[in-house]
Amino acid sequence: MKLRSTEPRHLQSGPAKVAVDDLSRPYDLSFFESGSVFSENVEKLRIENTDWPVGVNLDAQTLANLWAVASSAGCDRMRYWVNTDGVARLTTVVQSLDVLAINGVSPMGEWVVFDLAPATTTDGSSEVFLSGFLTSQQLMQPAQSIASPVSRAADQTGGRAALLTELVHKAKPLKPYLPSLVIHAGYKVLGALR
Amino acid sequence: MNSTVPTLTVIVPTYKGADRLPHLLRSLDAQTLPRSRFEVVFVQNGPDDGSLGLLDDWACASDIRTRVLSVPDAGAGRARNVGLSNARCDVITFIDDDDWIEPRYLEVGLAAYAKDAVVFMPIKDANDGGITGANSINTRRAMIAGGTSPLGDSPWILGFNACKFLPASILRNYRYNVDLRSGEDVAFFANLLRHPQLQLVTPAATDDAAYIRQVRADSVSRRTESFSFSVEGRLDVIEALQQIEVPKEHDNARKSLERAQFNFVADYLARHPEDSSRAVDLAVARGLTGLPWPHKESGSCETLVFAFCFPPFADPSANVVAKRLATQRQVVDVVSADMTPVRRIDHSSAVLVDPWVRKHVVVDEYPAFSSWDQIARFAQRAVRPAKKTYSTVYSRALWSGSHVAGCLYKLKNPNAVWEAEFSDPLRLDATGEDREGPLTKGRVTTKLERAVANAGWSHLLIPNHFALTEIATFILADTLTFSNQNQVDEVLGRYELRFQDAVKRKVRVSPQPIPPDAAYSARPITLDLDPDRFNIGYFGNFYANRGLGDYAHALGAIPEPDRPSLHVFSNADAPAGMDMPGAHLHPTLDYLEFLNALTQFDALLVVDTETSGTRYAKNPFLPSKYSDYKGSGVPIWAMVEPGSSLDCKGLEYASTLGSVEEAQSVLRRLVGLQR
Repeated sequence: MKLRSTEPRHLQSGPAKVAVDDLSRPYDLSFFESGSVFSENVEKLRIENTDWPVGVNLDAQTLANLWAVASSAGCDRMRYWVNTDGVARLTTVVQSLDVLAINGVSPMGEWVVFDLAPATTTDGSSEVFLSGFLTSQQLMQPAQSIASPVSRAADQTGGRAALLTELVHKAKPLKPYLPSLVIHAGYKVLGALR
Repeated sequence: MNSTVPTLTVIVPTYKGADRLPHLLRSLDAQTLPRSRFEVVFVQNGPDDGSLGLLDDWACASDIRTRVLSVPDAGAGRARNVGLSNARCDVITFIDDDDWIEPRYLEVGLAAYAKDAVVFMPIKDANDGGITGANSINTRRAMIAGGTSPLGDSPWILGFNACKFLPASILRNYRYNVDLRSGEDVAFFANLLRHPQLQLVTPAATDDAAYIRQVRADSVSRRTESFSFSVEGRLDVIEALQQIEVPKEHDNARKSLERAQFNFVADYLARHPEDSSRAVDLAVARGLTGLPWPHKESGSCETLVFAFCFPPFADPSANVVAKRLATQRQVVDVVSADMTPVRRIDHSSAVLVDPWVRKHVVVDEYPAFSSWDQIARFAQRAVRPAKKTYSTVYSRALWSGSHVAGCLYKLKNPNAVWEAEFSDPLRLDATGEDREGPLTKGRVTTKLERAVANAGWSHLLIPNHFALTEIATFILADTLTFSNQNQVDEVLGRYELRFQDAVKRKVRVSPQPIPPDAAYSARPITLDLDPDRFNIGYFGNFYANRGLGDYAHALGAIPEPDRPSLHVFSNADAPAGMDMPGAHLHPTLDYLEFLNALTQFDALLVVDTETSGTRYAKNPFLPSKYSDYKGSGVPIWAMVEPGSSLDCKGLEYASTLGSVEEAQSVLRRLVGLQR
């Protein structure tokens, strides 16, 4: 996956076609509007060119499939939602799917939302971004169990703060050796997450 | 909706509901609760029959905040899950698309809501004859109406989706199990029992505030009985319930939900007793315990089992008894020892015996292996509760207390038919010498010695209680079961020919039983196995001077890319040699986890007990895990002592202990299987 922008995006209102890795997971999907369709099966979403396709914690292969279905229907954009449950998959997602570029990163509740668009030759590398999330994969392991039924919101904030700390810790030693463009992009990612 | 007063999300799953929904929509429009206090989330599931258009039109026309979502796959549980994920308010209630609510239902329900409360509203039934509030739920509700009580005191309200207002902060953490074909509501709401702080609030003033339930022919309580619904489906729900960890104070509440489900099973089996075994297999495959099987309650129990080692204690001998009972499929009463001081608890093996044990007495006596006073006390106390006369008795040793109890019972009830099973030589130790077992005087000693003398064999006795127990058992038991012929030869060979001849008539050779197929899937376990490697499993203590040494040498014959991984499951410290490439040490597993783990390996390794240099002319030991391995269907690599019982099995993958060449050959062939 390439990197074009890490600017936060305004999340559109209106219905979405949402492919979820597992509808039995206790996700908060309450941001979606009336008319949205949810499925674990990409094909069953019947995506049309006016739809907003959204992938929730999908693995790389399923996200690629979602994009294939969406782009063949005429869509030129897609969103990818990831929370602590999907961080481990994000590694592979970002490492693969070179046809897509990250065109915006927006935090939302327990989620980090990536705006995705078809990659172009002017898009940069997502290496620094990936490096941070490689670390977060280990970091997020304990948070995978939905342990606290009382205050999920507090946990989400805590998880993101911990992720930020680890990202900064991981990226700092690399800083002197990276091109300024990449460093700039890295700061944008951190800013978006914050 | 961040107001200080609580707000409500109404979740309505709907499946082909175009004809039914208008009634519900009218009742929503008629609600007295201010519109700012609630939202409605419809989740249409399955093919659209026009419901989406109907709901969109209604949403546009109504002043109620509404979202209409959809799920292409049909399923109320799946739809409710999407509703839960999309709920935005503090409180959640569910309404089915064929039901409706009276005008003050939402107002009264939300008014009664408080932090950590589950509000329970009245329910009325609608059928062709009209609407009536006379139903069992309301009758029970009336007894608690107007009050607040711990939720765990009324678990029965967790058995249905309707007429509850629930805290979203708790409910959002759980989801319906979409794999359940029915009863998913019970399994879902039982999660509330994880929260001991929850109180049940039951408003008293509920005029015009009832939930109206459309009574349908296919509701669970009216479903036509079948094995699939009444047994398989209920056991699925019980499995889901038993997986929910609840605080101790809610244990009984969860059990009552299990019992309610099992009542369907019991009713069905009462009419179809021929399906009992099939039902038990399903329960074992799901790892269920604590179920009041009707076949245990009906009829008389004719068999008494003396098993010093018995589930839930983790011991190979306990597991063998469990397998015997599971394969014999016969209801028994059991007397066993409390092995708490010497063995850890393994609840999994209880899954095998639970359907067949009617009464289980645990003798509270220190579990001694070789102290005669304590063994004798155990035996006396084991026989005491067996007031009833049993027609058959079964005992298994090691530990010898089982057979001592068997002797006492047989002396008291000579007509009982007694089978005594031996796992290893009782009198002889691992080197073939007599075990140390000083004999002290006492009533048990006297009784056993007198029995031996009366049979004319007192000259065989030595002052050793293991010898006394073995001889008395040989004399008194009707059947003597050994795991292999070598053991018979070695054990009896120590006695004079005349005695051998007398005993041999009772001898039966029966290898340890193979667990039922269902046991291998009862407790699934995730093993960290490298899918690109050939994985070999070994379970038990591993001695560097035999098996592991052979394995390490054999490994050298395999090119590095093809080298297998060896996974050793043992509570012992890492044996010497475990630092070889690809060797992994794991702690031991519970018995049913062990059985499941077996099925995940490419090969299993079993090693003979080495008897060369001992007094044994033939190896009398057959590793008990061999039968477990065999039932897994996985190739077995046996490192055998020539002439041993394991050697005599003629296994395809066998190498002689200490033979590096044979070990290399076997390992090459095994690794070749992967290719």
